[in-house]
Amino acid sequence: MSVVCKEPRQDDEPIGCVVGAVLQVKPNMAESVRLQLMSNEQVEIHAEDAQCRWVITLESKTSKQILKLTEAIQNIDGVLSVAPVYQHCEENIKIEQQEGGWAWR
Amino acid sequence: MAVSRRAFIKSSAAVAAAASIEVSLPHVAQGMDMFDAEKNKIRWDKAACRFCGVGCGIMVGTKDNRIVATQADEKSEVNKGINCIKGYFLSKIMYGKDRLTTPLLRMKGGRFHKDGEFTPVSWDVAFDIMAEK
Repeated sequence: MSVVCKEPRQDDEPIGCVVGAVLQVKPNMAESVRLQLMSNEQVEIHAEDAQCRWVITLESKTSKQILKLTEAIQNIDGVLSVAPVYQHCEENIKIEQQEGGWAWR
Repeated sequence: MAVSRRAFIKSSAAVAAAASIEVSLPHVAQGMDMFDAEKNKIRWDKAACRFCGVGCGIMVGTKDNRIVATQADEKSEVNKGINCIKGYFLSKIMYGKDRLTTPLLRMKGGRFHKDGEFTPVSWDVAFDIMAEK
């Protein structure tokens, strides 16, 4: 099991969105996937098992950015699937900050 | 060593993801013990995902009467601790500004009209119209 720990950020910083997910990675491409993930400071690898399933966390300011990040990881050569397990989001607390794409008429 | 709230949430995310594939993260769980969980005050309740007909089990975290977190229910026989990407947006759809919060009635000239514009009305008015029709 490999563990990559990063320093926690300041406590007064807004939480934004934090996601815990499981990646299924092709065993023969694990190292190249690992290098790509480690180069992104929004991603942290916490553990992996013998079946090449990795436990990762994603951090971002908004859930939209997390979605883009998830798609980017899904498109990395060697990543078979990204399954979100846990999400914590404290964006857009005020109603005027909330997004909506469709209005009646 | 004090653990920041962000670090605690991140640890929770990592531990939940690890539990879904039966991997333990003792070093992370140990760090979480040092965080005063009372400060976080997240209440967890059980629910079902409503995005499709599969019926995945999820846990919903509420803080100050607002949903701030969701987690796949590892005890659910349906999804066994894993969500899909739609399930990731369960809390977000609660707070979109275009969500419907009142009944809408097609109205023209202050009355129901099938060619009218959708207008917010009270539940009493909505039920009266439904009973009338």
